[in-house]
Amino acid sequence: MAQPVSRRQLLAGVGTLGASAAVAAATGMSPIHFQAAAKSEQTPDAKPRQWAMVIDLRKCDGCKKCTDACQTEHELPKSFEWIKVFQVEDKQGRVYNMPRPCFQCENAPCLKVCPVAATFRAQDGVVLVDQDKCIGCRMCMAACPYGARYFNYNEPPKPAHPFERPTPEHPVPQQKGTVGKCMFCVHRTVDGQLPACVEACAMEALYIGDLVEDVATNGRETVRLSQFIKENDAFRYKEDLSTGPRVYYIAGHGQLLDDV
Amino acid sequence: MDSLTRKRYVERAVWPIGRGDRNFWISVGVLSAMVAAGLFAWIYQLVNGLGVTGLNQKVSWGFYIINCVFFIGISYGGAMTSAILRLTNAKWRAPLTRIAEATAVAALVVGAVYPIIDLGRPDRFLTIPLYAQFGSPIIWDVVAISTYIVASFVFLYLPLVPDVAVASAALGGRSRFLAPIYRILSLGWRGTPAQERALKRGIGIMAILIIPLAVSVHSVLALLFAVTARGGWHSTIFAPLFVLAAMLSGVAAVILVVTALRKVYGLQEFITARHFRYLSYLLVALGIGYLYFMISEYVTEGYLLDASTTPVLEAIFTGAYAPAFWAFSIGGLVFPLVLAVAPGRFPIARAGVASMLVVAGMWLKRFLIVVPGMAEPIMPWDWGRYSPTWVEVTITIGSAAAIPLILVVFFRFFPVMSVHEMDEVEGAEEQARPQLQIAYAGGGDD
Amino acid sequence: MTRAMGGTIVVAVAALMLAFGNVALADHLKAICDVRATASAKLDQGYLLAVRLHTSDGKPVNETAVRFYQLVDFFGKREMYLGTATTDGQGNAALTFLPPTLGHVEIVARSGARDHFTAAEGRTTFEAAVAAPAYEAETVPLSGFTKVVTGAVGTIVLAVWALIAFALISTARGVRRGARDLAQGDHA
Repeated sequence: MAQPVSRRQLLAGVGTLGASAAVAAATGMSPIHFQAAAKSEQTPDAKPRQWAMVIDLRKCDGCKKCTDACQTEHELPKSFEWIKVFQVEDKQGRVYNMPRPCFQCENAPCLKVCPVAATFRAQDGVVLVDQDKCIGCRMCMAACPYGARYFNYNEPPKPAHPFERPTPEHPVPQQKGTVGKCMFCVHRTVDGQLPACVEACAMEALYIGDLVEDVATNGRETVRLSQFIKENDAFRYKEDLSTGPRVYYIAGHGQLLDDV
Repeated sequence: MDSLTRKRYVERAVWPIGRGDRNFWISVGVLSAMVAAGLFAWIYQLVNGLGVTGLNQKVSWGFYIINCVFFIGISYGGAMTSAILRLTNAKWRAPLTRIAEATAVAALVVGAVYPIIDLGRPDRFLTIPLYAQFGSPIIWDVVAISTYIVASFVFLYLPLVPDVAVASAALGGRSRFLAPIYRILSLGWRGTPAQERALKRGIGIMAILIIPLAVSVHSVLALLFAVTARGGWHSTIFAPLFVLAAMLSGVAAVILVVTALRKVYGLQEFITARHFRYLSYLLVALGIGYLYFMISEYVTEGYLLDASTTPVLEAIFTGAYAPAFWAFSIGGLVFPLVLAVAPGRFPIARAGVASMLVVAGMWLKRFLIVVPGMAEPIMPWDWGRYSPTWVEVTITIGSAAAIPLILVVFFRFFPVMSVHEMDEVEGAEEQARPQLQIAYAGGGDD
Repeated sequence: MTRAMGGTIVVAVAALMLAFGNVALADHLKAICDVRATASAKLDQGYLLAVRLHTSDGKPVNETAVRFYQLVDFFGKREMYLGTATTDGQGNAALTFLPPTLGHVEIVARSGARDHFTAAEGRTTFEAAVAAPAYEAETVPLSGFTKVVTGAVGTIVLAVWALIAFALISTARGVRRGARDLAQGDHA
């Protein structure tokens, strides 16, 4: 049940530009820059990117800087861990760390069960939530097998920019009574900025990638995505549920971290 | 039924009508206070948001969803007693059908409000038809429940048409305000063969329709859980299990309400131990069926013990939810069923106690389905926890009180036993037509 | 960490070389890296990135690892690592490369400093006429069938509503007609 969203994005963009222009004129603040189709959002032959992530579990040290950066970027309460770092114990009793963003599933259960299509897929494969439409039934939270969705039971923290109108691409501030989740920071990637978690990761364990141009980068190292996945036997979590997740994990096999 | 008995039947059926005695006002007062407390708690929640409940990021469904399933399940008593017994031509149903149908509508109305209470943005409830996605189980719910509510109202109303005149006659000239309402509702009923035919056909259609509708409603409620990838939820038997659970809790609720109203309205002559015995048989048959479905599910899951279902099984058989589970299975299912059909003294009291235990047990079972399914670790984290707050408990109590309140008010205006259905069943139409016409015509209309 | 340290060393050496003129260079032979992309014989293998590593007087530089990168514009200009090939006795090394998309491709080949050879870098650009198959998201199974089922159920729901309406309306009309007939009969 995915919806084409170019019109929505355009409307959201125009609306945001219009609103911010009005506010800028009124208050002298600089307007928010929202490009409808920035160069980095598209591949060289002008096809929309299909975002994916690769997470190198060999490198994650569980510092949770990714979680902190995400919460800061999106003005979230501390209980909202859109990227959540799990401490997992393997069969040998060794503990490894597993960051879990939203997997932006290609066959997303959350999308299928939403009664009002408040959860929809953008052209670049990212699953977004329109908090202006969400009725807060939380069926999506029951359906998500990864626990990646968070409900605003209370009023979110006071917004830093009270006049900024939230959009599905940039749901800041969150709205009470609706559901929110990781959206691969599409509001940053559209401007050529790495997602907040990828940028914040001190271990360079998080890679943001494009399945179309077959490239992934952690900010320092840039790899060919398909090759990187194949060479490192990357897997997808709970893949047997046929959710089609877009996040690949490179298994740590309980290795201790090297001093890189 | 001789005419004297019939006269007494009609007298008892209309006894509560227009009777504004002290008991009536005390019960209305107490129940209204409880409903008002529930409303106050809901308004508090509307103002402050769902954060006032015990819900959290792991357990995001709780009391409200449990209550929705529970109360809609209670409403199945109407479909069972009225529709199925009509279609199987069980004559003993006649004094019970009005109570069953009215309870069904009351419970349904209360149950159908719960999804709205549970919403994070109830102000957007009316946008649902605008944006409806037909792949969503929530939309299936909306469609099924709204269809079922309409059908239940129609199924309550049609057999009521002939009885409206009886009620109007009983009221006499005491209420000028109500007489025109009764006149409109009675549709000019006189009991002529043509009218009887029209009514019989309408009720017949509804009786046939309401059964698959009832099945569909609880099936889609079950699918709300069963289409997710959670252990304990993703089970193919969920739809039939929920339907049977609803029928069981519905019949138990009817027994409970009938026991109470029989006492309060003095219907002992017409609702006898025989009725309770037959209702108990129905209860036990449904209970055994439900037990069978439960066993089928648990053996299937418990034998393979795959990773997704094992944590929930452990929790309900021997873990944190074990006390609730065994209380339900023994105290809420096996024991009351035995109690209801065991031969011996006090059959009516035993049926009443048994049905109370079954109703409470079925609420507990819905709790055991919803909460462990939400709390179980679907990721490598701990089990979730859920403690309902005063808001959820108060709303639950208020909504539960709303059902007897609706019934008490309803029977203030309409006969508590169906006169027309009794006549139909007794085949007394031929004999009673002259008296009938006098009774119907004396209702203060043109 | 090692990369940062290595970078610092390279910068230090380069600074020394510049500071002392050609004195340091005299000890090192300048390696030249020629890169060429040719279409591979097998079409599905894409292109062959061939490198010849040699000195200015044509002598080959062998046993040297050459790393290949594609220049991409992905959150800024970056070099996407493709693979490594080692030069043989003739100083040749090659890597098969199937471009991810059609169009302009820019390749950088780099060899590190080795023995008395300097590091070298070569670039080439070409228009890719062959590329890897475009990425396709997984299709949802049974989607056509699901739509048919949804339509069928919707039709049934509408039929049920129609039946309920019929039951109510026809009964009401039948009863009211009966009342009228009776009234007319009385008055007759």
